[in-house]
Amino acid sequence: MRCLLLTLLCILTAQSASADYYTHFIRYKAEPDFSRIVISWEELRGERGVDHMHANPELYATQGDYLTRGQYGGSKEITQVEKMDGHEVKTVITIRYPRGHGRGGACSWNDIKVFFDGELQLDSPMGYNHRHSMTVSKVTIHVQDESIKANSRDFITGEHYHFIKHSKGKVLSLPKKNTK
Amino acid sequence: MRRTILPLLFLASFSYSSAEAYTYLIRYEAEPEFSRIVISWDELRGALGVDHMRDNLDTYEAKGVYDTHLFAKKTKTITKVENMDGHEVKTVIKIQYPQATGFGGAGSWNYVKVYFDGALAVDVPFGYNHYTSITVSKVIVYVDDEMITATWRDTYSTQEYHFPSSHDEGEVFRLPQR
Repeated sequence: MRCLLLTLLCILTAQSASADYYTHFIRYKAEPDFSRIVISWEELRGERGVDHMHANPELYATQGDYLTRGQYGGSKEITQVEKMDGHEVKTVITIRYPRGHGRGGACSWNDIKVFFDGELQLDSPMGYNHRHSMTVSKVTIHVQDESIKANSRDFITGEHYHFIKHSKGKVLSLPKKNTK
Repeated sequence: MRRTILPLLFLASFSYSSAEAYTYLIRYEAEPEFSRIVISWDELRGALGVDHMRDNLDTYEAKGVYDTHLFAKKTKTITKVENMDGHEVKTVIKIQYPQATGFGGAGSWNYVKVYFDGALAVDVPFGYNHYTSITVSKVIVYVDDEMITATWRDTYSTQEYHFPSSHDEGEVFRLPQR
């Protein structure tokens, strides 16, 4: 009887549990028409998208989408050089894959360096950085304008998650207020 | 003498001035392979990129890229519908172009609404909003995950500009700032 009850309890508990399914990647995109280079931190959520990305990392890497999870340990360095409007822009992205040793080991540690005409101009973490508790979500190099813009947010503000299944008719509105 | 000095003063003043060429775009991208829809706020800087955008508005609109700083136009409403992984996602983007009548009239006023399977799920200002002083820079609809994220920042934090040649000579742009 006790065994039966325990088994039933176990099944019922497991039924309502579901893992959060997500991954992250860094997207590098040169847009010579707009005289800019955009490096962004992207998130994928849901089994279909995540599984598709994890099944095709090499294919997406050739398109400039670099998966930052999906493997443990090791690192990858990506160097991209663009010649645009009389300038040379070298971007070095370093991805250190999750190591799983605690202290942020569940996340990747990524860095970005930008050399503009040979000189180091940007040196920053990219994506979520556990040590600084910040997320650098986008770096834009406006080549002809000779300017660089970086967007970052801390861990408390700047991003809202809205789960449709659990929203019970509430609408995601900003600045934060419930419309229903 | 005064006639010589005045034009010289005029020329000297203008030799140092240069107009900032920039514009803002809203980009709509459906990525069915990743089961997501991304709506983002993008900046273009420099005469070359801005002029290229202005010369090819229709080409970029066909690709889902909309210039929000077109003066002398009033409003534009863009409706996109995607059927993905058994769900219908309707996105309505409204761009109210700059009216230049003060009170934030130099900027556009933009709004995004997302209907998930017919029900309104997102209703936010988009890009820089003068009234609320916040910039909503990205909305992502994860269709298969039935989840939406919105990324925003306020006026004082989280965006830094670095001008290597003109203002920040020799300095390296580092984050976090120190």
